[in-house]
Amino acid sequence: MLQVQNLAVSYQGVCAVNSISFSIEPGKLVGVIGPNGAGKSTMIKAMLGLIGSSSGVVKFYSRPLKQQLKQVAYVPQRSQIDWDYPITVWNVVMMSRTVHTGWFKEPSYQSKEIVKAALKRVGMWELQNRQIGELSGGQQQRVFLARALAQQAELLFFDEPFTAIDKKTEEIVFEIFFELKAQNKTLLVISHDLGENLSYYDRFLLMNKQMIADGSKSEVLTAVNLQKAYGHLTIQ
Amino acid sequence: MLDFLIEPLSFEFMRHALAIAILLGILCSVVGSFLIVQHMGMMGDVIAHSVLPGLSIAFFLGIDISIGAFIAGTLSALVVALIRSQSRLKVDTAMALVLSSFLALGVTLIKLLKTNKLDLHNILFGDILGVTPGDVWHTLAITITILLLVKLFYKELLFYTFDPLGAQASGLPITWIYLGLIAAITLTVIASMQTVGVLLIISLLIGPGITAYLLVKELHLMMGVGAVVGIIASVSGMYFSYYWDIPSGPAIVLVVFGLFLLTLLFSPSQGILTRLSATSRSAWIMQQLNYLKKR
Repeated sequence: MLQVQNLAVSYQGVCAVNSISFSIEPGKLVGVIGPNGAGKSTMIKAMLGLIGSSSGVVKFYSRPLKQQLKQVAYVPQRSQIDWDYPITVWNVVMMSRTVHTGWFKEPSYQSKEIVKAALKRVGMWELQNRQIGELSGGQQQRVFLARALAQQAELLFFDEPFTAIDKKTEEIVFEIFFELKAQNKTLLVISHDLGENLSYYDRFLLMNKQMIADGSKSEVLTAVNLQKAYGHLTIQ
Repeated sequence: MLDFLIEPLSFEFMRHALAIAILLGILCSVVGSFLIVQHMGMMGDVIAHSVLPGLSIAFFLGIDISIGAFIAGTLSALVVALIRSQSRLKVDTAMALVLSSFLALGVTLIKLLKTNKLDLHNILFGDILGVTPGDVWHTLAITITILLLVKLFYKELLFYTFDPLGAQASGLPITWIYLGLIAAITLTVIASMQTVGVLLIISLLIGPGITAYLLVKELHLMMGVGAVVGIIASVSGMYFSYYWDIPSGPAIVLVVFGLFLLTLLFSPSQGILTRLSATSRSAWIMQQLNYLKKR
């Protein structure tokens, strides 16, 4: 159970996220939607303590989330990653085992098996020795999905995972989302373009600086709500 | 030829200088590789310039100048971080301001505190004649310590430099990792100061690393190949310095640039000329295929 109470973030006096509250049951796939600049990424970063928040409490199973980051997998936006970084696919996915492995230790045999399984699951095992810059956008996203899988987290955050990816990758991503849901994990997925995949989600959080609507597809995606969030009637 | 190589070794200062050159080639490449992949190349330059006020104050107080340099260098990085987090300024502007201000403060302090015995010219451009056995041990200690720490914390450093947000989100103490990197850069600057000079250290920090970057596709290989490039550059720079009587810093820097240029032209995968010939080769093959098809 993930609980967020009155989360607020401001940058140099400008309010970016205003008093957001919600809670999510385990085993749910939740879409965070809203226009560009609505503070979706900011909200998630604040939840994880990656940026400071001016107020708010974030709890996971009644304990502060920041104290159990080992339970969290976070896939940043593609623009946050330097794709020319000299690193191979295998080593990117191996990063997921860093905290589990612990300081001063080499990754265990078990960790290597977990990484191998994750790479196979996303169909990237054969490309494990490629430098990440040599991959297509969809393949790059699958590497990060494998990293999130290998982290064996309970709570997964994806920031715009569907940017610049192919149809095949999109299918793999949703298949894996469903598997994770079935394992009772909680998934929060930011997207500003939900397109035809709206029905895959259990629930939506529609926001623009503040929470505008929270609920099922039919409850959230109404003309009134979209008007409030986007200033016009359709999702771009 | 052999005499050419052996003759300088009859001087003790040259043996010391060459020992330091080899150590610096390794140390700078390893530390510099982290700077490069974090897009923090200029940070090395900021720290290098900023050690000057620390040198002057430490000399004035009669304590080890390395300690003064370490404090001033680390402080400069913290000031950059402070300006960046507390204002809307971007990091490059903050670095430009801090670099010039610390250098100005350093030169002013050297005059005001009458620490003129600190030879500014040697600090800025390096001087192999001044290398003492103590400097060699100093550099050896710093090199071993940093290599050991990099080995111990490699997986955390790799994660942090590749994806700082992801590293933080998984619970790694990224502030400490960042401070550790800053400390390592500052120590490297202190170790290189005597031979390369603070104005030119940045070359040895990033030059071998980016040369290696054009050749390999993993960070640890970049460090390894970079170390070889660094050793070649710093050792041959020492010889140029000895025979042509030029400051060791500029000599090393020019060799670094020469090696980089050669790699940029001829790297098998990314070289300008090799790439060109590869395209013209494939164009030729296509031409032949079309010709065959027509027949």
